[in-house]
Amino acid sequence: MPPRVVVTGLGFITPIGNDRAAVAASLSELRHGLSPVAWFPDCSIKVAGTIRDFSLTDLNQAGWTWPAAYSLPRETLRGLSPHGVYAFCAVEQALRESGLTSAQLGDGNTGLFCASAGSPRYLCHHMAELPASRGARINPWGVVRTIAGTLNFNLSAHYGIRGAVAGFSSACAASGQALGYARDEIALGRHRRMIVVGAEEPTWESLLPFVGLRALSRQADPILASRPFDAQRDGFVGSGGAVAVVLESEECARARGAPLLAEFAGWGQSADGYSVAQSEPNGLGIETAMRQALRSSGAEAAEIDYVNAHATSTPVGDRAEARALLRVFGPDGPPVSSTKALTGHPLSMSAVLEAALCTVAIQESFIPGQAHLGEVEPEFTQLRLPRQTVAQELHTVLSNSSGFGGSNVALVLRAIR
Amino acid sequence: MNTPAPDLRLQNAREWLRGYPPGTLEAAEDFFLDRGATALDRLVDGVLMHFLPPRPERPPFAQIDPTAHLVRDLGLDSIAMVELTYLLDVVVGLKFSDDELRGIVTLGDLHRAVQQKRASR
Repeated sequence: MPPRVVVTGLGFITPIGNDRAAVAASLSELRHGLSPVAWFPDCSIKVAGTIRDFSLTDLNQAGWTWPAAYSLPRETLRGLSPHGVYAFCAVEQALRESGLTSAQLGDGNTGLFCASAGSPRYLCHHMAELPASRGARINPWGVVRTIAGTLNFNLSAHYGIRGAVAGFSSACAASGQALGYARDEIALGRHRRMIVVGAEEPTWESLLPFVGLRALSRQADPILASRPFDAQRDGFVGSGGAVAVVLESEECARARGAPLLAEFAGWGQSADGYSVAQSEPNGLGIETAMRQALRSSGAEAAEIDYVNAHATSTPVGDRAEARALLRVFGPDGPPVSSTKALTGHPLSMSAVLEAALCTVAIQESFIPGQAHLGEVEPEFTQLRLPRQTVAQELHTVLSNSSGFGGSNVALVLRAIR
Repeated sequence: MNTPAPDLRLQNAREWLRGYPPGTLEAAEDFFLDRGATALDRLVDGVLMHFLPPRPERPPFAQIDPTAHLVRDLGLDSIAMVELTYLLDVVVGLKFSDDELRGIVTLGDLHRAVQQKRASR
């Protein structure tokens, strides 16, 4: 019997709150974290999910500020871009909740999997030195601060982690794969615990490139901008921050008296094999991932109490996922909502954010409502989309994520019995 | 090599030396305006102090012997050495080759290398 895998710690630096209590309140009360942004005059992005209590826009780290509760030494800071600072703070929260010591992190049985697109803002900044100096000068931190592996490089060195350390780069499915493979490391007996982190920077450098794909909402009103499953939805709202999750074998967690927040029961993944950037219209890939996740977790479709949908508020993506949900669960399926109405779409960190939100929902016994839903697209009327939060005990929940190239991930979490 | 005017160099130094120990920026200004022979050494010390990781057992910087080993005794790591020389390049235009960098082992070596580099410009 493979070890059961449990969640023992969560950390949040997100548009809807910078700790678990704030996030739980925003989630249950359906308070969004989207704000107007004015990066340029007449900028085509009017709204984004931004992070409060941090100031990390200065191109010199000397101008950065973060909450005083986090002690970030210069030796660690020097290798970080802004989302690395968010990630550090989220990991600190998760470790505190889990009750892990630095000795346990360095025991060789703890690993770290991360997901990030790197830092387009600081990559542009550092790379600009090269032509200016004809290749003779670049900040020595230019690479490790900015490329997609920056979180795993920096956090593993800071915490002295000696187990498996890797980064995932499958775009908006990346932290779902990080979670899934981290679960497998524990289930296969290779590690006792894994820390999974996703982080992104809600800057114009990260988000404006999506305008080129016409993937973003043009709305200025946050409530109209991110409205998954709505008939009038017109694209996603970008966001960022960081989320950290500690996964552990149940035996190890119980032995040290760690909080058992949820079981990570199983997962599935697939690819659409269809388009580099657009979902396969019928959601065949995400359907496969969901069926695999159910099989992997030993759950029947009828046991799922809630689905946290990937639905980012794009016309094609939401429709593909809705079709898949209706095939997997039928017209009498479980309640479905996309919490991206509240958080925006934080790209590669979305899966770990939503797995953490599902864990909070399980812990606090509620189904987050589908915020910002006006008129439901006629094809989706058979989906159960609760407009308000529903107080309800949750036993088994499923969370979807999809990314560029049609990578799909579905995760199943269960309440601890 | 064309050296920018002191005011442009100072403007650049103000940006780069934000958050550095007191006296570091003033040392850079003295160096640009050729005020005092110790300006470059004071600038190097300020930059080095900024890069040193906190170590409770280390004596105050002014009491550190020139024979102190930058890595073993002061706790500088190899990336910080590269970062330090990068900073000296962007602020005062002193460039060190890989071979020259390998020859800088102690605090005294660092001061000597910087002064020699200035004299050779």
